[in-house]
Amino acid sequence: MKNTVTYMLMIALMYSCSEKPDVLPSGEYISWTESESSGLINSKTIDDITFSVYYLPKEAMALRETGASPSEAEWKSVVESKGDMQYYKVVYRLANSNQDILKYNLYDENEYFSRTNYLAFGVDKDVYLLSGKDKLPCRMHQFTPHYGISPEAEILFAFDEPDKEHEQNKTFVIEDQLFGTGILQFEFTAENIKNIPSIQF
Amino acid sequence: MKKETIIPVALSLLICVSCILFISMTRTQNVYVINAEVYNDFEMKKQLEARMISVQQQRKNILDSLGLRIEMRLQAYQMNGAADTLEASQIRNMQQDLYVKQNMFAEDNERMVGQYEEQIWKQLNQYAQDYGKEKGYSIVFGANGDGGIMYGDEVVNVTEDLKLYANEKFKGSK
Repeated sequence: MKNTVTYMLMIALMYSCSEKPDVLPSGEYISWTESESSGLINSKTIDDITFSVYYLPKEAMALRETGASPSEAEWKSVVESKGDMQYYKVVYRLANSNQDILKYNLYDENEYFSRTNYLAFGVDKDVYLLSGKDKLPCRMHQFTPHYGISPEAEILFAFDEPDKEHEQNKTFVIEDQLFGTGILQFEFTAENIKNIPSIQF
Repeated sequence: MKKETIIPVALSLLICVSCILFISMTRTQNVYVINAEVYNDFEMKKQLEARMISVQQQRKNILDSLGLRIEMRLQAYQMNGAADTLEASQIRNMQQDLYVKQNMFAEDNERMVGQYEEQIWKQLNQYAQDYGKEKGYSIVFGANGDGGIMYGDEVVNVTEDLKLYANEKFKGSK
């Protein structure tokens, strides 16, 4: 009997460790969504370059704008202003160096500016989202050039959200034109998106 | 010691011993894959191949259509006694245009094939490295059928396993 109880306790402990929280205080919410355990980050390294894609819940984006402890009403109005869209952040960085990714394997100085220009104005044509049978084009994107201050390049993408109940897995696709790595796919499971905790105010 | 206690302890020991044996057997193991099979069944290769076929077909349609127009005008020109010098000049221009387009498309098709192959191998090489590291293999050989590997026991042929791994990695679900 004693052994059975011990086994059950161990199983319960293991289960509770892997279980995601249902509710999180607003102060912990953003860091949780950006943690590996959330299942909202998908990365791959190809040929020294690490591509990381973050699924950004609108709730977390609103918290960034309002600060960590807003009133619920203030936060809700910012969430609503995000519309029926889904948001993703893409980060390019070198896997084993702190060199500016946009200076990696440059042919000449002009190429640096053409890369910056491409990320600011052209990358949206080479990015799309697969959601069930839908292929969603990018509606908006934002890239802020840093001109060597950071080793990373960070771009925000927005797509329509036809699957509001999150029944389908989503695959973020980049057809990489900068580093010649080809088609890059990043899958986000419906389960991980559905199980994002709610915020406690 | 009670019977209820002995069974779980024995089971745990058995699992531990199996794990240790498995790890020690695989850690220094050299394995091989058949490159052509891995390449041909790689999902990215299939996607790019489909895209390439579609582009090449569209280009072929453009050339066929232009060739047909030239043929029809040439026939009409010959039926009319081949006396119209303006028509002859226009047909020559069309033939020149067809020739330029044929060369341009052929060069671009070749460039596209090269570019796609480079992209595919970049990803496959990376996934093979990741696979080898994850599995703890010392070396993953690639058998090309060129005599580099003359014989390999099927036990160390991990082609199917690498194919699954690479495709999962490509889909971004691993």
